[in-house]
Amino acid sequence: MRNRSVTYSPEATFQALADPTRRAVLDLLRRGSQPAGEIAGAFPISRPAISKHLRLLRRAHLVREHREGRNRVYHLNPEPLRAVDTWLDQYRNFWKMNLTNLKTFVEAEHARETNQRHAAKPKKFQRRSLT
Amino acid sequence: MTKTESVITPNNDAIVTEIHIAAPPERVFQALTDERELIRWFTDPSCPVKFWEMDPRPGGRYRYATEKGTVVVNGISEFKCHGEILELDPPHLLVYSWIANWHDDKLLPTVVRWELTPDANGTQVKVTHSGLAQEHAARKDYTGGWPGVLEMLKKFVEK
Repeated sequence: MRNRSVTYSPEATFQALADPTRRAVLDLLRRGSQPAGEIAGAFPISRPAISKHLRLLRRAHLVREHREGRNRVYHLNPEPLRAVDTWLDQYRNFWKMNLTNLKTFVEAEHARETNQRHAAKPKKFQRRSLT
Repeated sequence: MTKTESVITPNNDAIVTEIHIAAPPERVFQALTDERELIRWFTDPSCPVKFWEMDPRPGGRYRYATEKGTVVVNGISEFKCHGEILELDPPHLLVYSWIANWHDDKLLPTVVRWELTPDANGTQVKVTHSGLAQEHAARKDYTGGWPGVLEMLKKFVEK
C-alpha cells in the first residue's frame, strides 16, 4: 500500500493500534487537532509516557505534528487505517471467492458421484402387491 | 443461490466467512484436503494456481503457488503460501498455519480454521482467518489482544 513515498504497513498500523491508550489518543484527535499538552492532560499517565505513545503513532503515520508558536500540535492521518481496511477487504473477498469456488466444485462433484451411484445400481425387481 | 457472509469479529483480529454446501461434510472435507481437488477449486483466473501440495495429517505440511497474474498485492504478483496442519478432526475440523509471501512479515504465521457442521440439507462451512494483526511475542509494546481495534477501524473508515 503506497501513498507517494510512504508505505503503510498493515502490521505497523496494527501494532500502533494494539495499545488502548494510543487508541484513545486517536479517538481524541478524531474530534480535531490538539496540542501535545492538551493530549497529555486528558490521560492519567505521565507526560513522557504520552510522548512515547505519540512517537509511535507518528512512526506509524497515524498522526502528524506541526508547530503552532511554541506548541506541537497533533492531527490524525486516517490513511493508514484506510489502507488496513483495504487490506482486510482483500482478504474478505479472497475467502468469499474461495468458498464460492468450493461450493460450486463440491456440489457438482457430489451430484455427479450420486448420479453415477444410481446409474450403477442394478434395477431392483419391483414387487407389486397382488390385489 | 450462493450466499456468503463475511464479518470481522470485534474482539479479535479474525475474518470469518461462511457458506452452505449441498453435500455431506465428508465430501467437503475431501475437497479441503486432497491436493488433486484443491488445485481444481482453490484457484482463480486472475492468478491461476501452479501447484497444490498437501499432506493431510497432524503436523503435515501444505503449500501452493500461483502463476504471475493480473492481481498485485503488496507488490507481489506470484503468490506463495505454505503452512502446517495444526488440528485435524475429519470431517469436522481442519486448522492450519498460513504463511504468505504477500504479507509484510513473510514469516508471520496466521491461522486458518475450517469448521464443517452437518445439517438436513448438507454442510455449513465456516472459515476463520486469524492472526492477521499478530506481532511476534518478542515485541515489548504489544499488549496482546485488542478489543475494539476493529471497531475503531470501522469508525475511522466510515467517517
